[in-house]
Amino acid sequence: MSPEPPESEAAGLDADITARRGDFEVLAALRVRPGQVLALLGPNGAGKSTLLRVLGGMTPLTTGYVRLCGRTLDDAAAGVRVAAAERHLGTVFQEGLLFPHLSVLDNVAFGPRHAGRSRRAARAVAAEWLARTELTEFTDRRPSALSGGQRQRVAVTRALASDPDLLLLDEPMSALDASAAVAVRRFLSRHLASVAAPTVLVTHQALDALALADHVLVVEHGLVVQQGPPADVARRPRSSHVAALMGLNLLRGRGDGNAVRLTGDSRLVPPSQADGEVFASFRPSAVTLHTERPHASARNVWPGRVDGIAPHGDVLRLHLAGPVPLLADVTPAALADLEIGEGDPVWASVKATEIDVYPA
Amino acid sequence: MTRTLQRSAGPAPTAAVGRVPLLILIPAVGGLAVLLLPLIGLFVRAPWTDLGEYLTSTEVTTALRLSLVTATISMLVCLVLGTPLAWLLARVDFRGRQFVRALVTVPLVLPPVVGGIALLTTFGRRGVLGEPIFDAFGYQVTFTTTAVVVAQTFVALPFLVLAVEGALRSTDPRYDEVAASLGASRWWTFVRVTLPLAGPGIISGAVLAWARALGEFGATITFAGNFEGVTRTMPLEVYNTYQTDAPGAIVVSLLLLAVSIGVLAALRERWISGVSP
Repeated sequence: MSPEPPESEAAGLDADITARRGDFEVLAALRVRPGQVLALLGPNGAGKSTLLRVLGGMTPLTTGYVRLCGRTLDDAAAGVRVAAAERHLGTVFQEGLLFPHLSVLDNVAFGPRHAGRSRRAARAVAAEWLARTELTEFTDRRPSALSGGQRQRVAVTRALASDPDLLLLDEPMSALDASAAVAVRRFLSRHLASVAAPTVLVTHQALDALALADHVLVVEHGLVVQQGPPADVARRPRSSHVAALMGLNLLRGRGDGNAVRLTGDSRLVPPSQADGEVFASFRPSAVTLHTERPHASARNVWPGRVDGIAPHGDVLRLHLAGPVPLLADVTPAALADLEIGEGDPVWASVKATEIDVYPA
Repeated sequence: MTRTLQRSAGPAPTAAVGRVPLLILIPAVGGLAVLLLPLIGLFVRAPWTDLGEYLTSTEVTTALRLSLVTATISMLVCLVLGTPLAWLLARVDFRGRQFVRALVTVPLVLPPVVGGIALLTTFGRRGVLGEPIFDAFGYQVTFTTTAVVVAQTFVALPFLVLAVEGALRSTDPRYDEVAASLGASRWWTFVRVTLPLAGPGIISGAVLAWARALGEFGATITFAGNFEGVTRTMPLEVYNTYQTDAPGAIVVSLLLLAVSIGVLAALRERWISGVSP
């Protein structure tokens, strides 16, 4: 597991995938350098898991190729398809899927054993890994005697112990309760740092992608709708789904210099010159509510109606319906002062300086 | 099993769903009576005073030993041949799978005596395969202990295949994928993951097959004949004795019953304690 820098383009994962999933197609190009983590972020049913299954050799691709460390695993045109067992992968599934009939030690030893080691040697490797991931105390336990979070940490250790050329993580936190998910996320961020292989993480939680990934692909309806470093994706979402995941308002319109024409007759005043198709995003806390049309400095003022109120941390998050649907965060005290409730009409204003405008 | 019966057939009212309706309770008790009354008859008419004498007779001990040996061998043959067949049916999506599964169930519905005739016309001395084998090697399987095993395997195999296939289907196939992703070939996945996970189902399938082999009569007497010490298993001994000595047949029947129940109970006990420690 020596963290060697990539020697050439061939190192790491290079995949161009088209695959069928039920009645729709999944299309994506994935490049992951050794030691890097790529997150596939998107809603359930977007095709993320299908991509992972193709990489894992569980699902055939219809066109394209998968190359790992210079080795061709799949090539539709050449008819190449390497069997799952021959790919040298480590996979962590949603529910961990530890073998229930084996102890924690033998679960972790499973990969080394099938890499040709004797039972003894495989157990020695497994014990070493359990020590490294601080799970030694569970060595002799059966999976049924572990909590969900413990099981998932063992599953990660089992995947790492097979010394994979590619690590695949399929929604590793989604079957866990909130506190266990936090623990497993911390565990992953600590141990992924020392993984020399490329890693592909599938998740529908923006937090997982932000915490663990070096690069994010947002997948929706089988297509990559956005990609970039997690911070960029978080700050400048390009789809309403990602915006919702990040808790941002996202509007789309056409800029003609000093104004952006939104759908309908609404306009938005950008912080600076905006031309062509653009996205505009801003935080719900940047939205100010009024019971009457304001004549303040904020030039972005839209009418709306309170469609729903839900607690969100220390504040209340209001869903506003109207020509420009918005999320707005207000303190309970502010809401009480405004004397508005669900169904009431309101005016929403946003300062231009709070808005991030970027090309669509 | 008794616990389940008490819970479902007992008339104790449950707060949520009310009493067990009489329309269900009466036929259920009737069903139980159909199953138990003949056994009670057996117990009532048994010549309890002469029991020891009957049980220690050479005919009975010979037949018992033959039955236990052949049924166990048949069960092992069923395990070796039937488990891979069940895996194929459960895990590999091949053309004609439904047809093969239907074929497997045929001996289940076939009257055993018809099975015996079928075996005879195939493996008998003038049989489709039996004749060339006899001409080439001078060997005939009919009327040998091997023929008993063949007949028992023929009738017991479907029980094992269906039970194991069901067990394999109910184990999560994703464990196979996990094993593959960790580098295990399909064979080692079968040996180290699939088989252990389906273990309880395989054991119960084997027990079913063993019990079916132990009770096998029709195919055995047709195909293997009725020779003391060679092919006369316990069911054949019961039949034989009954011709001349009805009380003796009752004793042998009770012995067969006791052996089956005893082995089933012992296996069940061990199986339960082994699965949930």
